[in-house]
Amino acid sequence: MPAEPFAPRHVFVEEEVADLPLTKRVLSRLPGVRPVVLAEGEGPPQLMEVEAHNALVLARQRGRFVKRCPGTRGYLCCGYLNLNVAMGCDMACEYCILQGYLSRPMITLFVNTDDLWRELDELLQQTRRVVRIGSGELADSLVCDHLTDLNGELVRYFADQKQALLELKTKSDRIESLLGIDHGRRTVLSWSLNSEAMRTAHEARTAPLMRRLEAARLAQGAGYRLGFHFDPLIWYEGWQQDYQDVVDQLFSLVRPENIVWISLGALRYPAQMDRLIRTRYPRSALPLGELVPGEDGKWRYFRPLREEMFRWLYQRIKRYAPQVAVYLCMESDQVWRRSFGWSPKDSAGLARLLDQRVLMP
Amino acid sequence: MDFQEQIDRRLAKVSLAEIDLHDPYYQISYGAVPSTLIDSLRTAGVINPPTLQRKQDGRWRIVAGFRRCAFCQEQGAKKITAWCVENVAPELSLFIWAVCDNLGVRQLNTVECAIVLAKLHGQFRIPKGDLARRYMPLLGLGSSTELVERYLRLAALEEPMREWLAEEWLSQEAAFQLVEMAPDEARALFAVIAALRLGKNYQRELIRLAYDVARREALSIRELVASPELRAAMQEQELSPAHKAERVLGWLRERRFPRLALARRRYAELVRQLSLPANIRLSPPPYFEGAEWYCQLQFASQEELRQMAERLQKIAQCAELQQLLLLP
Repeated sequence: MPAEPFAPRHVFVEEEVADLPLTKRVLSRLPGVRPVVLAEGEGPPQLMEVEAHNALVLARQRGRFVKRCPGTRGYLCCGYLNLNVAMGCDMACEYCILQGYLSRPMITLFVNTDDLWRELDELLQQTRRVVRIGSGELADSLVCDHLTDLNGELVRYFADQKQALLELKTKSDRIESLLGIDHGRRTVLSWSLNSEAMRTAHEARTAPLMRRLEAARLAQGAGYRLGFHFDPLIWYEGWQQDYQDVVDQLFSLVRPENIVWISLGALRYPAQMDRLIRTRYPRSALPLGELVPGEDGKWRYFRPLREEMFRWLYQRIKRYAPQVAVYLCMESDQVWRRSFGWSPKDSAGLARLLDQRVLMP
Repeated sequence: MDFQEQIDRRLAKVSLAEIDLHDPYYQISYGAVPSTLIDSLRTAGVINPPTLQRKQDGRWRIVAGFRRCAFCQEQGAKKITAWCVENVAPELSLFIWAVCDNLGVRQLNTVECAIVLAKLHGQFRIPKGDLARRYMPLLGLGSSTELVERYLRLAALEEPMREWLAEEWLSQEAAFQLVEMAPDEARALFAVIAALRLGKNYQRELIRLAYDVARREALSIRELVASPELRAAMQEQELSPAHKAERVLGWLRERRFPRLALARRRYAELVRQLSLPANIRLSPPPYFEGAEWYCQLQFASQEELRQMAERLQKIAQCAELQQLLLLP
């Protein structure tokens, strides 16, 4: 994690959201920054990349805040809902697909929260199905929390929901503001985990593993349910010992009964990301892995490598936590069977498996 | 002041002996002289006079028209009609003049574009941002500073890679990659490209594979290129350059993707054990990703299809097929 929380040096505000309460709150917390108002239809200016990483755009979410995870062709998807309250990240992980998805590297925060609450009301009142929803898809869930306090509001909103679970996913350790909130155990605080060697090599601006796990321990103490995502697993010389250390450290601080789910996912990215990683991080070893095109065109480790990693980690996790739901993110039925010895068969089966975890107290 | 007014010039006959043909200050032309230019000079002589600038030592420096002057000298001419610039014209303006003089009659090749940009930046101190905004469009290139950087690096490309690039035998992408490498590594890889006369797609693949394998195995590219297997493939007398290229690239692919290569070898072995007739072909899913295999049948009659169906039924019972489907 950057030593300091995200502190933008440039703030651009769309004119139509300039008077919204969240805009005012964010700006009041950035007293040294003079915001630039963008007229209707005007985008933020092109900034040199290093400056763009220090820029924040306050904008209207013109699409839907809630979107179904698009999944990927040929692989099982859990039917998760993405809550797109922000877009972009300042952690600069080498493998991050946001580099390829987003046309500009600045963080965009969607401040029209009236629309957000209305959408959530509609979603939760109209549907009878279980809802698993999280804001960690297009941004780290906590990246702007010190500017917005939005997560606190979301946690309180979900506290009364019986059929829904909010997941806040992060690679940071800044959860203090969430600890005293009445969450009703309807929020999962989740951490992406990797070995410390891989964090140092490829996620240099994220919180060290032990700080993430310490934060998880604090969250557990505050009664939150927890999630962990070993994603992306990276194949390298000595991965077994390093990932064993992560598992050992995890279960030395966290009790299995507080874990809602643990996902495993191996390094994968769209084909065009290969060039991007090589250009931005010429010394990165990530593209040197034995990655081949998958059924969906994304590059993934050659299947036996993935299966070996999944099988190995599944067994280690299950030794500590036989009851915890461990699942694969975006893998085929075949890989599930070869890695775990069983499979939810299809996306609906996987969704049911995780929905059951939501309904648990 | 108007661009042309900055350059006070007059037409005069100048002795070729007074022209410094080797002063490269304004020179941007690079590569073989186009045959059309030679034909034109042979047919009608110098129609468009070169431009010269008086140097402090009294001799003339060529601003534009290096090839024209050289041609006249080769033909044994004593004098040439030229535009002579006597005043201390702004050198940058004269350089742009030289660039435009060329652009008016032809497209500059990649090396020439790189030379122009390198001179503007190094000799005339034009910042990279200005190069992107003002001069890249003049050269017909995209106005990005990233591209400027790449072209500036290309200007440092060594011979004979430079010549290959100018002649478009070497792709721009390959040249960009080679110029990023340590010179001895670039030379080693280029030697393979040149010896095998690789096309542009193969150039890209060779460089990528060699770079990746070297990094994966902590070797230098020079060491990789010196591997006995690669040398043997390149020196195989019986093979054409195309076949040598296939062998070299195949060997590199196997080193780059060792587990995939192993799975493919195992696949080939099991298929061989199945003894499939030529008109039945089995293929695994691409990269063994996915569960669906393909079976291709070729037949000319109902009877042939019936026989194949019988054969397929037998194959379906084989232990080898079971092993095949469990690959990798």
